[in-house]
Amino acid sequence: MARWKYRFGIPLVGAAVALGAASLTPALTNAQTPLLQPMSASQLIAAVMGAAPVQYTGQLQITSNLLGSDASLLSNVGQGLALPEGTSQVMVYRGAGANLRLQEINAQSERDLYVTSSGAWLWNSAGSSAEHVEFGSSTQQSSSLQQMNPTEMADALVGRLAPTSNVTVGANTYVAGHAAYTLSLAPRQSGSTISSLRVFVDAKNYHVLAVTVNSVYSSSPVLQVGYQTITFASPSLSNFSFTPPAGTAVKTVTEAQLQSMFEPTNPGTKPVTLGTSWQTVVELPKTALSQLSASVGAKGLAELETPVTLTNGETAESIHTELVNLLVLPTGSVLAGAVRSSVLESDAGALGL
Amino acid sequence: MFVEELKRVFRRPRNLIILGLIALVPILLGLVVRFASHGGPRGGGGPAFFAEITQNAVFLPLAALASMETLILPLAASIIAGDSVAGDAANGSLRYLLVRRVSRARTIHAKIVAALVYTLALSLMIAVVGLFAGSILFPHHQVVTLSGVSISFLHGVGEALLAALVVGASIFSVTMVGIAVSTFTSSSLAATSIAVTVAIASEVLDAIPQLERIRPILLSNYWSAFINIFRTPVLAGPIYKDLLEQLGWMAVFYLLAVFNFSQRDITA
Repeated sequence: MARWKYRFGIPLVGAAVALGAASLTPALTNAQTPLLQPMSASQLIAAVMGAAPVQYTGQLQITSNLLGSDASLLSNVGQGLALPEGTSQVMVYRGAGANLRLQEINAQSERDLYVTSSGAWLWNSAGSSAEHVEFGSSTQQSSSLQQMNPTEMADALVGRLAPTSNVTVGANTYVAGHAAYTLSLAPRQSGSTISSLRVFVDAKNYHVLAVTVNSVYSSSPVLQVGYQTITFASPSLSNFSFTPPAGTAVKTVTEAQLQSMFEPTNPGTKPVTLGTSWQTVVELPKTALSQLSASVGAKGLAELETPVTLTNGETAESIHTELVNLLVLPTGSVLAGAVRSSVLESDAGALGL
Repeated sequence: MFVEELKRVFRRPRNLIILGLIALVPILLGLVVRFASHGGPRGGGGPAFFAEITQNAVFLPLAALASMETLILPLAASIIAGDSVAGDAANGSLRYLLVRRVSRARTIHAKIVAALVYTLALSLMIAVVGLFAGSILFPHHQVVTLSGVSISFLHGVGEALLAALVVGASIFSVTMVGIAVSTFTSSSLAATSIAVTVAIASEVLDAIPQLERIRPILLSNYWSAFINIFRTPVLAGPIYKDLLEQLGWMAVFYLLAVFNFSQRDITA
């Protein structure tokens, strides 16, 4: 019978070791707290603002958990979903000067942005298409930001935030293996769905390594943008050059067209905002609802909606996500904000509903 | 002993027939895409590299590997692995193997090596046949990687062969599960079925979003990692994770196979 010990005991120990190694390795590296020189919030902000540009190669991970447990409701809605949900991976190569490459890693395809001082290329491997922007000589990035004193700017910023927010430096941690300071921003006002914003700053060169948005509804961050790995060394120049392969459909975009893309289409219809600071709510016009309905699908939208009775007795539809709440008013317009639904309802009351 | 076992595996008519059938798949795939579709299956859909098959000879073996990795390759590997010990036990030759003045450990190691080599041969067969068929059916000029960078055709061929090695190594865990189960039974069909079931169960669990937390320990989780060879620069991270995953699974079932085989009573 002792043989059974060898036949099953040793493989079982092996399985336990393998499982333990797989589950403990990430936990151990995150659990440590580096000892760093203490810094005040404004000192840290000044250090970030005054930091010299660094060259690096990093793997950026963007995780969104906006829908929380509702995400499974929408899984059957289809591919046309515009709501960001899930995880995406982007390789970032930052070289000297304007050199930048972003490589969006998808399971079977890839989108790339190649930027050099002479121009930018956007490549999409699905369908082999490329867009090209040529930079004129006029685009000299004015470094007005660097001419100002970062310490004064940081103090001014902290001073402006102080009445509404708690700006603190939290416990030090490791991000992508680098010791990092944690800058935390939390609302003093009640009613916000954001419990805190955290910015993780590399302790050596003050480069931002990660940003998380935490919600009052969940213990894990709802939005997380951070480097999984990052190496501060200049990437090879071959990463930035791009020549469209033969047979590629190239679309050339002029600089003027590019600028017009980022300008609001009709600046006359600016959205109305209600409330201040963390309680800011936007009133969107009726078209916003039809756009949302088109991207989520009418059925998907209906599954997310909950009826709410307003103070005047009419019924509005409330849409809840982990970060943003929406209130579809009987008039068809939409109130949206990173606030609890009670704030939206009182805002609706202020509008006379 | 090791060479002898390899010869046995590669001389068995059934194993040669499996290799031959596997080799037919890229040829059929190439012919179908070349003649039965109008202008190639553009616009996405299907397994990885499917849309690119008509553009370059290199993409035919890759599309074949991507479509066969999920079922046909694990199945073929399981058949050989499940048969490795159980087959000999069933036809009585295992007794004669053990009567010789060779330790049991050496015997099981020879069988493990032979099955792993056969697994690699399966994926290399797909790549080599696919490259030949692709060269006849499709253009062979510069290869465009997923990042939009052109590399020479020979470089592309090299990367396709590397991809085949990675795919072959990704199936090692299934092969090892098959061998381990094979040491328990004299029914090679049972061992094969269990190995295939483990592979399919892993793929099913991998597809359930609620089980995201356990994904990193599933043997099939990084099976599509070979795609990352065709980025510029090559994204090695997922490939290393895939190989590490295989090593973990192999270590556990290697221990099970070796210790069970060396302690078991051979009654057959």
